[in-house]
Amino acid sequence: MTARRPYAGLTVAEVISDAADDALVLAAGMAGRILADLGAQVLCRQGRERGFDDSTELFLSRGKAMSNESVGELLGRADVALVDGAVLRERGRAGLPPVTAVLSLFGGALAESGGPASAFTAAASAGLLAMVGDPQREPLRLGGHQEAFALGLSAYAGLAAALVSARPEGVPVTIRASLLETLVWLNWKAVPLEGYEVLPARTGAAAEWQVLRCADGYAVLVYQEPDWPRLKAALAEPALEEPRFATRAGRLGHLAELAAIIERRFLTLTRREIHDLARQHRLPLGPVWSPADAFHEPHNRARGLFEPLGSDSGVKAPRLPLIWLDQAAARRVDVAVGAA
Amino acid sequence: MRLLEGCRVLDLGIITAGAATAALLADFGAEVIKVESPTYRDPFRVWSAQDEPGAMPPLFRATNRNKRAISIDLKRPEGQAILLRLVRRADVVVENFRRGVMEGLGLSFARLREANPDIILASISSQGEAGPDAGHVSYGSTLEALSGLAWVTGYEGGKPEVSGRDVNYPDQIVALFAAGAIATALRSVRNGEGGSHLDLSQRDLAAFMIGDRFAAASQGAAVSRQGNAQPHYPLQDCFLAADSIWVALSVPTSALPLLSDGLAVGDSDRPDALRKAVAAATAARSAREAVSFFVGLGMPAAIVNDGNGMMADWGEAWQHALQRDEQGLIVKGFPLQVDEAPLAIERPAPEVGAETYAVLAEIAGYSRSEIAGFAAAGIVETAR
Repeated sequence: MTARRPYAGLTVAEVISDAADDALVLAAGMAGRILADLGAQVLCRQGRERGFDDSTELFLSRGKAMSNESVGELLGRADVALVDGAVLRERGRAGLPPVTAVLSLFGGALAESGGPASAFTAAASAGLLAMVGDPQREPLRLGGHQEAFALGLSAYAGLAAALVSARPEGVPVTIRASLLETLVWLNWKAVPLEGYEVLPARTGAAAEWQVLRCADGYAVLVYQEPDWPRLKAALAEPALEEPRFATRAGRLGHLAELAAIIERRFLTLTRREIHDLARQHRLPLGPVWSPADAFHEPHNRARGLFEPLGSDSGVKAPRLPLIWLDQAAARRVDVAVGAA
Repeated sequence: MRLLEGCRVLDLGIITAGAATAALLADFGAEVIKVESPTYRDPFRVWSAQDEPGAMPPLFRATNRNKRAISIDLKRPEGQAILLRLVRRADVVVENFRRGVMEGLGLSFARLREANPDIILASISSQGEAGPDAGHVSYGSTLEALSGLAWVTGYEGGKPEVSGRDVNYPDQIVALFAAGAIATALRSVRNGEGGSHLDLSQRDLAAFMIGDRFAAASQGAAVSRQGNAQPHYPLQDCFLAADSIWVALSVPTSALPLLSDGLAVGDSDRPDALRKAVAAATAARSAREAVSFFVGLGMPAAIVNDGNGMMADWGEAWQHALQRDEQGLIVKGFPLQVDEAPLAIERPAPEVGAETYAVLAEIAGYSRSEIAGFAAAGIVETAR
């Protein structure tokens, strides 16, 4: 396994204006973090107050340096920049590096002049909040900083494409990545596609896939139609043989009762036992691991998922989720897994 | 010039994760050739809510626009040989089959690299190429559970939650990351480092997307579910308006005094009183009026849209995330745009094997009679 560093020799500047929402700082931070892991020298402008916690700062700043240069100096010597609209307006396109990603909260007509917004209100506008949680309660956001980090992935994808394009040297490429465009793109199945009469929405206890209690925590009941016979066999629960559950239509009509029966069975099993059962019967059930659990998960350990974030080797987070395999290294990994 | 112009991708991707990754590469200008088989279709071709026979299902149509399509029976040695001939003239192969399928088809990375030392094989999988769970069947929400994302999603004090089958969040985000990773690998090839096999695990990515929570947990913090709350927003949640529509509101610390004054709460340090006042102010207005009220006070606020609400904002708050194809039907658009090389939908999603003849002739260099022979033997399939 070798980690390539295709961006070695490139300097990347993260410059988000003081007035911009934290979501853009987080997004630039995520894109910059990925570029740093892939070899770029990433410089962040010092001074801006950040509205997120130290752990987030630590995670995003791995492999980067803080710069106390002026914005002009920093952007003047960078090959790549992550900026917001205010920086673009102030500097002009000519005052920015050849490859620049301009981040914004809105797209469309509001891209330049949107009113107050946050990652949370963008998730609302993009329909994402309406998809998660209990329909009897308030809509729910995904945990962590999913919206902003997803925007960071968008910006990275655009910059990576720009950095391999065969354009003549010096010809600029300007990536426009907005939070709302990214979230709508992610939540594309929520819009009224032709042929679908019912709009998707959060269904809580009436969902086909849902989180159920088990003996030592929670596990997600996930299955597709072809999995049903194996699910019944794995759980060995006589009630699942009732005629009302025999077809998908029948199960959809009795989802809450079905979930209650399966939860009753799950409560006799630990998450590890559910995990083993799922593997044995080729079922997509998912025990819910906490971050503390995940550090010790054999799969994560075998893949070397966690790495130190800084000088303190005890402070850890997932490495970049990209492994460069070559043939010999792939064999070594197989051997290691076989031994685990 | 479009960013990935001149790049050729063989797309063995299916459903969302693989097919959407290749679609993004196509949007950037790569020539993407979707490879199906006479005996195996992208399952999105049959996942449909429509009864109309012959209609292309919306999920397939949305995810496979901007691609060409061929059909080769990869289970037969002759079909594998045809694919390897295409690999010689390609830059990237994208796949997201179950682990072991590529090797079972005789299309391991070693074999692809024999054909083309600069080939990039992007293997997008649920849980990676190796590890004890590598063969574990999973869908997006399985990975939310295993990665830790479900653990940090949920109401305060409540159970973990997942995005569910209509979002399948890990399937969506991996396309963004994988498209970037492939472009990065193309740069590596241009740097002279040769082809590579990219191991892109959705479970690893979902964990990376809560990397900050792992950093906190490793420092001893109790990482738990916080509902809609986030640091530095003393109040952030959804409130129900008079018309039974939810309104999302983020109140930054700096706006607290203004909001307290606006709602006549008095003391902005009393969060419960402020929450009650916000709930009452929202309940007394329609959702649209409530959003105007809060935005007027300088606070981020938005209606919690359903799919129809999203459509109503098209053009105003977002523009290119969805597009319409030449028939006017909705397809996936673009998460980003490029000023100098705009992304556009240039061709609709193809029928099975729509360009088998053309691709095998133009790119693989087979003669018409050879192709006809393959078709007669059932090794390739051409459009009906």
